[in-house]
Amino acid sequence: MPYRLLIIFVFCCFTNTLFSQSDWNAITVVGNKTELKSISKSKLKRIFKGYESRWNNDNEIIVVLHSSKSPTCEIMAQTIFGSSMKTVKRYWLNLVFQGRANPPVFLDDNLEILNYVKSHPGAIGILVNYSGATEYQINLE
Amino acid sequence: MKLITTLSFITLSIFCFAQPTIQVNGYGHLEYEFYDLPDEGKYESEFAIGEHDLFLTSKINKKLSFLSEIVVKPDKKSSSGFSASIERARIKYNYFKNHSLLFGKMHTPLNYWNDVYHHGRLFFPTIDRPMNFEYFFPIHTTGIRAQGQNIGSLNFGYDLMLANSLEGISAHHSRLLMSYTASVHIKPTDGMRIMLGYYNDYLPSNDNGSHVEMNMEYDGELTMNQFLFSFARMERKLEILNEFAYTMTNTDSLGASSNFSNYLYVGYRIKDIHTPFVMIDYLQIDPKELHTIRREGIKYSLGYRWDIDPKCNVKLQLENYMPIDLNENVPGITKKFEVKIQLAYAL
Repeated sequence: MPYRLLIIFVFCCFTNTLFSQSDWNAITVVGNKTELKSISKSKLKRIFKGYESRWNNDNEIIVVLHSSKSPTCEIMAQTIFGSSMKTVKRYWLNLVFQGRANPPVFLDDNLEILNYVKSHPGAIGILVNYSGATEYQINLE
Repeated sequence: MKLITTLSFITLSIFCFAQPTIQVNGYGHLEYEFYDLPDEGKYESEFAIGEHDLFLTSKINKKLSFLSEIVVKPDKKSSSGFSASIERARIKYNYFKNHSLLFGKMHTPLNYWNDVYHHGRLFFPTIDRPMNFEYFFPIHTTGIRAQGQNIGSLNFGYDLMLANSLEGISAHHSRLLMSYTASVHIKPTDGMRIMLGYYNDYLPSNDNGSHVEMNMEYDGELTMNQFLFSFARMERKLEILNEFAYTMTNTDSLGASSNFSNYLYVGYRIKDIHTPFVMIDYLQIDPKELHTIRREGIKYSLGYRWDIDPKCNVKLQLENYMPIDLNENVPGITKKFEVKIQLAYAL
């Protein structure tokens, strides 16, 4: 009996990992005047978690995220943050409240994100399951 | 006068012509509290509207930003039962990468709690702040601050602040009234922050109304040194926060006094929204202490937090205040059992 309980406990602990929607292949990174042609996954995570405030060209980093209305927001949340969209919202709400980062921009779909990035120098966004080509793409290393 | 007019004109110009984008958020909380005072043989219960917080952020230009927190809070001295105050108002100049200069009124960046949670009950892990906040901790200071964050692989950060003394501007001081704050932290992994803080202040007449448990009978001079250590691990499942403080005050009357406090919170998040938690808060004040009322005791708490939404949560807490008898010249805290419920939200 204790052995079975242990198996159930271990399963519960890893449930989130097993069923997480993390998928780097579904991710396209777009940026405007970031001076980046490619970016590592760890650097991308740092930027989307508000750890960096300026690009090397001194442009301010504007983080553009999928809102919870976006059908693919969970893929973005799991892939970049390793957590649910609720946790991402809570994380950013607190970070802005601390005064340690400027508020990110939340938009509802790929097209809105792409258009926002095109018109805002320093902006960086994530497109999920995007099949088109864009000159604003930053390659993932 | 001319300087004030010029500064006012510059500030007004920034806001009028730079067309900043203003973001407005609101935070608030409602509470119910039942408590039993066994030594006095009475119970009390109360519903209360807590602090309501108007939080504004604005980008003035690509390097300058503004942040303010205006709080309306319960005030028994006011005829309406509430009073308003500016809890934070600061301009941040991000001059290079992750390095900035900040001017204005801020929460003193001395420990994790004060630097992260401010007045946002939504973010508090427990309903109350650590007990030390009512006795020694300098919650707000107004001045100039140099800040760096997320530097290097350990995400090193620093905060250096030159600010008004807790006593503020005093008419009878014989030296410059300034407080000095220095803190450093690292964030070795996501959600983990380890922080050290130091605070030095001089109070010529122990005149500081911000601490709830002030010693009103002493009005002589006092120097204060505080050393703080925070350990926070707020990860996806396990949440740990430890706030240690050692405060040393020095007076001509009784000499040096050493005071300790330690707050420990441990919570475990289940399915992202349910967090049962325990908390222990310890306070020990020296018999020679003159800044505050002398007390010693432990507060235990067992609680549960339900995150209904990222912008709304409910906390239920059972608390027990236990006096301890380390020194016969220091009374214990009042013995009390409490049940508290808090609904906290963001708008």
